Amino acid sequence: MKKTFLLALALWGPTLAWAATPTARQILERMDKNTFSQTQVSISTMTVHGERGDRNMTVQTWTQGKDRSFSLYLAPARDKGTKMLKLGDKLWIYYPSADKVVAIAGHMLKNSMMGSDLSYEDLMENSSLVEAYEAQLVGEETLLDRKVWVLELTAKEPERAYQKRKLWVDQQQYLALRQELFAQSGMLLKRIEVKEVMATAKGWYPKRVLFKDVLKTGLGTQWQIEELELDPPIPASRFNKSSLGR
Amino acid sequence: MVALGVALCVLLEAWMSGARNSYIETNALLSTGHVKIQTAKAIGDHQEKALDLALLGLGDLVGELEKNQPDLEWVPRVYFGALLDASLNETGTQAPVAGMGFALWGGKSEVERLKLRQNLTQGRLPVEPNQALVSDRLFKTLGLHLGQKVTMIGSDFNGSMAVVNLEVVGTLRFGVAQLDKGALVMNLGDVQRVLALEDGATELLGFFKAGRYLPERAAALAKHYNLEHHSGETPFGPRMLTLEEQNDLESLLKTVEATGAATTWVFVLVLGVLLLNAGLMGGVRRYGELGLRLALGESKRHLYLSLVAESLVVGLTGCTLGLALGLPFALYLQNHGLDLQGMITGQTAMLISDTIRAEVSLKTLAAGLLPGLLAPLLGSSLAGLVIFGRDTSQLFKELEAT
Repeated sequence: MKKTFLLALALWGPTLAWAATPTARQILERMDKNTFSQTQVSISTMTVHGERGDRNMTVQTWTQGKDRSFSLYLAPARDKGTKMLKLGDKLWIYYPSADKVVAIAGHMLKNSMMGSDLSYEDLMENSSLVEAYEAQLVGEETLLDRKVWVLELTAKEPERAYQKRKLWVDQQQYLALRQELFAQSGMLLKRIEVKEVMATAKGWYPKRVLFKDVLKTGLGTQWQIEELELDPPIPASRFNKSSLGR
Repeated sequence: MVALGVALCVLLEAWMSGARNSYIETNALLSTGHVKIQTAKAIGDHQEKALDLALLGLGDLVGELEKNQPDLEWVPRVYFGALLDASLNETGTQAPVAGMGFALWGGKSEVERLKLRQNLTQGRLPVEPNQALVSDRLFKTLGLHLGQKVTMIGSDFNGSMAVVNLEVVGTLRFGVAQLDKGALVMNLGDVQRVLALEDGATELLGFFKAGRYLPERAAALAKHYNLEHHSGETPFGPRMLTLEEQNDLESLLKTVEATGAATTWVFVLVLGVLLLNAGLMGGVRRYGELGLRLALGESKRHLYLSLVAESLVVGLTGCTLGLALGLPFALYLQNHGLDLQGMITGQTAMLISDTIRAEVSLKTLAAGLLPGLLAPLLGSSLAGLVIFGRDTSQLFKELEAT
């Protein structure tokens, strides 16, 4: 009996251990599932904690998959009516003050989006982490009293904005509670921290996130979701260039 | 010889002084002011044009300065980088521009100070919001026409994109290569509104109402102001710089000044030595004549004084002719200048005007009169000293021998 138990342990032990600790790829797939929906409509507030004061913006965003989104700035008055349309790897911004559509391309993609710690390039991240990066599980830690896996990601393509990422993924909620984004040289470029999460029909979703461009002064940009609707119907015309305009 | 030498000295001194003052005035007018106030961080980080480091609370700042420093005029300006888009709908033909926000109308208009009317090459000055001037070169690069609508795309004080449509109403040429490449001039109020800098400016320039740069006064003022405002202790607090403390101007101006002074005074010295030598040789050549005049009974003192007087007359005549020859040229260069466009190459922090003007002053006259008058006088005086060493009893023997 004892021999049979030991044999079973020898045969099933590694499998049981595997079942307890998923691979890096599995973790990323679960994370994608957690936040992915066919369509999304959200209203968020973005607070830029600048060196010389805070600035708040409110934006309504319609998203379809990973590569189509349309944003409309609702406040403040100065930015009200500004629209952004992302279609694949193309991005346009409509400025109501000049009634002008500006195509954001080339070096402009690296510029700060609305003065925040996010760049337009961040907005252009179309691929899921599984598709874009090779991942490696490098350890387990405790972060904010929660058990997390530590993952190191290396970009599959050299043109990716961040060549390396380090993720601290909550073992229960499958959300990256902290991310560090690096350049090819290994220089830290950005830090992302999830400050608050919310439950959705699909799982857990980051409600309040702090983005910090470490090359920029200030205390970072907080992005907070005020309203979120998953998988609502969105007319195709929403993601048409004709929707940019008065 | 005296006349030619004096003319050259006058011309050289006027040119060198003019060039130095031209550098100072051009830089003061377009970049440094006689003094300038910026945030300590903008100065410390060498990011003088960074909008996010701009001065805020401008109204209070100017009010305080006007009250405490009434001998200066305080002028806010905004300098910024942007793109100018000439296409009508979506973005298309673009060029980078060096944007400048000057007060173009109202009580503190800078139109006269910056000679904007004189610098207009076509069109007119902006008189309404959202009108702009562009440099001639930019106008041609983008293939614009007067009245055309263009879009300025830049970053505002918050780092957001700033986009505004402008009507190009005129073109201008500052005569400074660094600015004429891609200048965009807008009214200060427009720039402040578009760049979310309503009560701010990238810099606040101070100009002495006396109309010229007073280095000692500027240095004392800046020292006092910075002490009073604990400048440097708070990153966004104001800090005052003198003209020389900006754009490496102190060392550049010292070099220009030293080179100019050395060139002028070496020339004056060489001319002085030449004229001194000429005076000496004149006296030596007249050795026989002087002996004869002594033999005929003329007193040594009278002879010496007549020699000195002659050299004085020669010097005065030479100086008069020299000034008559050199001054009109110097005055012409003072009024019209010399256009060196295309000859100024390379990058320097100092703004150099394409047209350099001479400057005639008392120093100019001194540079001409000093060698012109004194050198022949000194030469004759030295040469004449031999008169007193000659023995009257030997004069006939010397005359017989010659």
